[in-house]
Amino acid sequence: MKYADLYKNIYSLFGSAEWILESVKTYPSNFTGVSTAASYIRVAIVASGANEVRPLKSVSGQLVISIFIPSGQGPNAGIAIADKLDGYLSGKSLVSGGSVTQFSSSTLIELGRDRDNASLHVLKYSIDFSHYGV
Amino acid sequence: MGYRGLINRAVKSAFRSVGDLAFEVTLSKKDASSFDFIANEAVMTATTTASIKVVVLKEDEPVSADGVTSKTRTVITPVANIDPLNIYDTITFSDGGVWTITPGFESDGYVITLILTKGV
Repeated sequence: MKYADLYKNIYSLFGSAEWILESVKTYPSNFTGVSTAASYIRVAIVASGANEVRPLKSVSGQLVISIFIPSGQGPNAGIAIADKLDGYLSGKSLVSGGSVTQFSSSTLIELGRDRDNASLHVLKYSIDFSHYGV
Repeated sequence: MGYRGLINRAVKSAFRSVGDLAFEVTLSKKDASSFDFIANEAVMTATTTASIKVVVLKEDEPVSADGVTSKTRTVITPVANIDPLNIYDTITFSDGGVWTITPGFESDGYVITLILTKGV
């Protein structure tokens, strides 16, 4: 279950007590809810380059996190969230259930106003990963 | 009584007076309060149901580019019956068909237009 393990591994971070204490509202893709927080992030996993050299399964790809902050207040709130994410991801490894995801270095791009809600400004944080499982 | 209450009463009366042009359906409402990343699932509130009247304006059977047929049904209903709605809500007609309410609701504050979808 290559992809299920990958998602479980990465999602374990956002479900951890440490991340919850950061107070950054976090949603996955294909989740519809009403956010009551001024800022929030949406997590998407882009998996590519899957290999299966038995007994090892590997997947490389990119973790793409959209950071939504209030418009008109500069990028600082988004930068602060990106720095928090970097603290957990950049150069780090996530280990769970016999699989490991290794992250390299991140990039941060400002995308500007959200197309669906102009009261929000969007930044895109992305980081490459390699995932190995048995 | 203010004008808002007056109009809401008139809308309800209009839906009663159209007789069997209005369908009695069951609105099932629930919401996602958060997402549990450990369980990998949305945390849903309990489902509540209510009986409401809708008038069907249009029915379609669009075929997607890859040949999959679905059904859409455009309906109107008094806003007072249902507001607020979300993507997790469904409407069940008397034939047992369960329809999903697509997001992007159009409302004038008194009557709401909903586009319902379901697989054939």
